[in-house]
Amino acid sequence: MAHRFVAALAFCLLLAGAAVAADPPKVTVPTWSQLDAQQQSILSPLAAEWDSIEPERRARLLALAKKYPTLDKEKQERIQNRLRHWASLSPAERAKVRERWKKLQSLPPKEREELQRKWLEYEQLPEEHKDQFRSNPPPK
Amino acid sequence: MNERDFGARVKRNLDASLADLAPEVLQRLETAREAALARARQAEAAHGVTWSAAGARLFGDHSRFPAARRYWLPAAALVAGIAVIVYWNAATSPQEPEDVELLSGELPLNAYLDRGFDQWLTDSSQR
Repeated sequence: MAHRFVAALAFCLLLAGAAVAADPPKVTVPTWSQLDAQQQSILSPLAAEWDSIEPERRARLLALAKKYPTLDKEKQERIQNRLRHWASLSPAERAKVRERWKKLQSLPPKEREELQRKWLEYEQLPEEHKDQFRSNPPPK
Repeated sequence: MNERDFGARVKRNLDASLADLAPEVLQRLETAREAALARARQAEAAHGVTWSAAGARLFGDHSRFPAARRYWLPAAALVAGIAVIVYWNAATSPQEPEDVELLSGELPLNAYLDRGFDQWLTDSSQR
């Protein structure tokens, strides 16, 4: 009696598994020419390298393009300016940026503002001065 | 005579003539009523076993198919179906957008990558 029930349950699971295995869902990743005009316009900084970007990242970038129109003008401009640089980073560099960005988010707003102010200050330094700091070992 | 009075008179006449019905007519009416009730009970029972009969055809004889299993089988099929739908949705739903907040944040990417900035911050905090 009991084994009949187990067999029935296994049969159901087998059917479900077969359905998934027979036609596994795929992430559709269009090539640059397959993007519509709006997507191309938003992702234009990546036009040259788009087709060589890994499919998973292209899907994430398409999701970004979808969200883009809902952002305010200032954020849209920042994204446009940073997109090419972001795409050129290695996975390790992107991970580093993400990790530091997360740390920054955990700081109180006052400290975040202070860090932004410090960055502007640092940017004003002469290049050779900055190079001196760059050649020193990074803080542990 | 209005409609209501007419209806009342018809009812009175029908009630009066009910008592005058011949015994064989009453017998026929009773037999017909019993037959109709039996048919109704049969239809109800047949409707109730449809599900389990389908299960019995697939997995064996109905008499060896207890009530508990009749509920478990559709439940197992339901769970399997839900699992497939959840998997399907997770795989085909839009991906997380690429670091929107990070890319649109106040600090440029170089601020996170420039080793000189780290060193400069350390130095300036020690001054």
